[in-house]
Amino acid sequence: MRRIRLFFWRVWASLRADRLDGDLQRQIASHLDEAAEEYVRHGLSGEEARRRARRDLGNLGRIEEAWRDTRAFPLLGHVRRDLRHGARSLRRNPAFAGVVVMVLAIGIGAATAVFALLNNIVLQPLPYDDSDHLVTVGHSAPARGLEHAGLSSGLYFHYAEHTETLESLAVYLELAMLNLRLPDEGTERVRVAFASAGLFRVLRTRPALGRLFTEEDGRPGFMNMRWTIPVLLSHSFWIGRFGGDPNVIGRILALNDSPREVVGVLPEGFAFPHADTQIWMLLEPARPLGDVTRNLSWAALARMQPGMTAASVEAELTQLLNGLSTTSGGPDVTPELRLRPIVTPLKSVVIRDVAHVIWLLFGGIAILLLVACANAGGLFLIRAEHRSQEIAVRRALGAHGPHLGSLFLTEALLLACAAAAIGLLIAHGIVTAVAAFAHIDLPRISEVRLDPLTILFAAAAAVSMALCCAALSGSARCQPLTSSSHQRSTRRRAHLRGPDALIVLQMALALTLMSASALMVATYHNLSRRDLGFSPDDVLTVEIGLPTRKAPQHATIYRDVVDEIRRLPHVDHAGAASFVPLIAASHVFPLEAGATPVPFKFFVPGYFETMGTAVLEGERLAAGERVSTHRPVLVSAALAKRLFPGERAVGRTLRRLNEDGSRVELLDGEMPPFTIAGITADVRESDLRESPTEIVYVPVIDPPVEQSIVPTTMRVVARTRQASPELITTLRQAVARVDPDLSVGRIQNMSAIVVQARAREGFIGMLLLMAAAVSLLMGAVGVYGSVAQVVQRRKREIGVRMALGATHAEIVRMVVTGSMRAVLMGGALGLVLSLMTSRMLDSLLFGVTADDPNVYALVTAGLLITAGTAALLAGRRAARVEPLVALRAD
Amino acid sequence: MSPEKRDVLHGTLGLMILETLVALGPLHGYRIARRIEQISGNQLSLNQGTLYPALLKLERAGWITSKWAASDSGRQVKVYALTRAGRRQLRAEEDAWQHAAGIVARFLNIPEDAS
Repeated sequence: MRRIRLFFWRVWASLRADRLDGDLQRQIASHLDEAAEEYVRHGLSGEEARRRARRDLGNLGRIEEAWRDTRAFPLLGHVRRDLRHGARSLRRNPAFAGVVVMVLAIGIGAATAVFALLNNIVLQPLPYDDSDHLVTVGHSAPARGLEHAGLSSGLYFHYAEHTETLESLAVYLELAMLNLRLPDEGTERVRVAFASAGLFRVLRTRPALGRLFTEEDGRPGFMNMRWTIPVLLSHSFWIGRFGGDPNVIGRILALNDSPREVVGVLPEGFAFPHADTQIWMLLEPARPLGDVTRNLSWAALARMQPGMTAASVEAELTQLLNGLSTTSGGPDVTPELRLRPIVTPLKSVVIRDVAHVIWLLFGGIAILLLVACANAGGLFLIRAEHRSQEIAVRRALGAHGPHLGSLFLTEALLLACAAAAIGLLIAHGIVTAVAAFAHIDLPRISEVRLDPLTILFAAAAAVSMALCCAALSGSARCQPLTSSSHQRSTRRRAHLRGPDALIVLQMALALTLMSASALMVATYHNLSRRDLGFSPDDVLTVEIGLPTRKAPQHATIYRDVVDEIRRLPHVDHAGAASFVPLIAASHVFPLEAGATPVPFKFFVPGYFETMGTAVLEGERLAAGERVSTHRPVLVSAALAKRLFPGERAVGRTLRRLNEDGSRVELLDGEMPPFTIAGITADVRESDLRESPTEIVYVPVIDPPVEQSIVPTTMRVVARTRQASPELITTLRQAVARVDPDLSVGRIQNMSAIVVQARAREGFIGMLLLMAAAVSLLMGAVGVYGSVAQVVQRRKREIGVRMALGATHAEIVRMVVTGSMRAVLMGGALGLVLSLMTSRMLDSLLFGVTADDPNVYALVTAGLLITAGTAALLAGRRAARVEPLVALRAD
Repeated sequence: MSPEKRDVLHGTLGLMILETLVALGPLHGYRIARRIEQISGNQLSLNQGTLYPALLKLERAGWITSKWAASDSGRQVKVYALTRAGRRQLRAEEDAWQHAAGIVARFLNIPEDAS
């Protein structure tokens, strides 16, 4: 109670501080007058009376201080005084202040940026209600070569009806590209997901506008031709395409020429199943018409009952699966299928292995923060040594331990505050740069920002660094500072341990970061050097989509588009394919000859010439050439080698099967097999890391080769002599000339696609490299500082030695040896640390192993050379010591 | 006793100020200082200035009040007067002081009793 009163009194007093202080001055003035008057009455001269009066009063400074301590918050008063002192002493030494602020700012900035990544991507829960209970449900079907299969509608109904561990289960289909046509506004490609009504209930989503799907929506049934299927819009699509018009509810859109009714808009930031989904269309699984395991294509999302784990759900589903044959009598869940449910927390599906990388990065950056802290601390330590005189004087004048401590802390806090401010700017820059990298394959990257927690992190980092630095300064201060010159020149050996331990730590940390970044750089380099099987330079790709009603004419339309584009100025070659390399393949089917499914790529003649892929053997199926083979396909060399080892593959036949391994039935019987017309060079079709892709290339020609599949999306590729913005316009016009119903999607340079394929490695490598460079730089600063400190301390000894005839080289060796011993120890420790941490990078590495001796040798050499150079540079100062000056200085 | 109180009466300066004000009624700083010096028979060489922070502390505790007024010599001085709370406090302090002093006195008497 009393304390509260006191507090308010002080607040009140500080509001009228000037008046109170004036009170004191006036009282003292009148006090002096009165006292002097009394002395005069006792017969003293006016001058003497004044002198005595002032003597009786005592030390005015002390009185004022005691007055202020009474009036104000004592701590605040000290803080203000310390701030003044601190700022003054830092101004006197701008180089010191600048270096410390820079070192800390880089440390804080990098750490804060990575913390923002960690916090927003890994730590924060997904933006769904109670998202920890969300899991995805899928299957692995090794017998069918499928690692990540989904659910059949039969399995969905079976699970949904029998599960007790799941609160709700819903199915959806991943993205498809469809044509959206609005009256008078042309056609565009939109990214559509197919969702059952239950999906939004599982996610507990609320619409931003209108409503979500209901059970009633699905009632009319998909066989009802007059039923308008409802769709939902993403928030950004609603804003971007419809200007946020609330009247969009009830509008009819033509999606792939079928009318769809907009019933609602999803909330901002809703990103399921993907952040770039624009439209969700209702699609309910139909009651199984027989086969339960035939088509495992539904993806499933579920919400667990409270207290359940993914493992317990998985156990229950396995049991349900095993019970399936007894309940439904279905013969299809045979043991040979080896179907196994896989339940994964949604969060780990969303962030995938990125969590590892970000933790690794955070570890690296935390290390960097420690390095920065150690360095700034080292600088403080050196400075404290330099200031030992000043501090001895302050002590002699009555400054006591806590006071000096708070002075050091204030200085450190001042610097750390400046560093935190600059660090936040740096972090903001990095986060913005990361957002600019958003096209790289980092999930949830759009959610990254400097949120309050991140700013708090920066503040906490700054404060703890300041505490650390102040403690280091303090440890130097605690030494007795009576300065007999004898004591000074023969400081106890133990005293050197502080900075030496810092050097060991820094070197170990720098080496760890350096080897991690070296491994990533090697990986990136290996990926860049990879033989692609095509030449991506100067190739432009344009995605075009065909309305399904025009599927019968697809061959003609695609050929006309390619011909039209080939005629454009500056275009040398043109072709088209159902997908281009390094972008997820579609149309993956098993072959009769071997169980492993392979992708089938449809191409319009001209494709291989445009891509620069060689046809090694047989017919090229080039543009304008007559085709002599019946139902010809091309296969990659790798596939030819697997199917017909040691034999000539050209002329052999090949049969595509359905996904479940059955033969493809057409209306007029079984689809006849293809004939291999030629062998192409191997191309990295899906991934830079993968071994040569096994693939079948199916030409889109007349007479049709593949009769049961029509590729409704094609990527036109054009090799141009000079790419220009006008070319993109002319390409669009050329497509529209052939058929205005064709939609034009993404236009990309093939080389950009290649860069993107290794962007993840490049991005991580870049961050690690930056961290390593900074930590190496800091390590060098640390070594330099430590040697400089030794020189400073042993100046007198050096003077004596030189006076006694020691050579410069001997002196340098003497001062450098200690630090270099610490460097070597740190290097050794760093090697151990690196070997331990680089395991975490394993899944990212390519063409280099986590324990590659060359990498470690190179990195260690780099570290030793840098540290050695820094030590020598500082050591040369020792050689410049003038013996006489050094001796006289004491 | 809270640290704050002990602080106020540190060195009993506060107590002496309160006693002075009880004895002589409202006074200004210089007169309080002179009175304390006189009472102590000029044994106590007070750094007179330290009086002012002590006065502020007492005022802060609500035991005295102050106002500017003209002194006998016509000077503008700040006159301090005891409050009711100050009087109460003084009595408590006196009791405590007597109590403590009594204990010390008894201790000093022990050798005579024992012998």
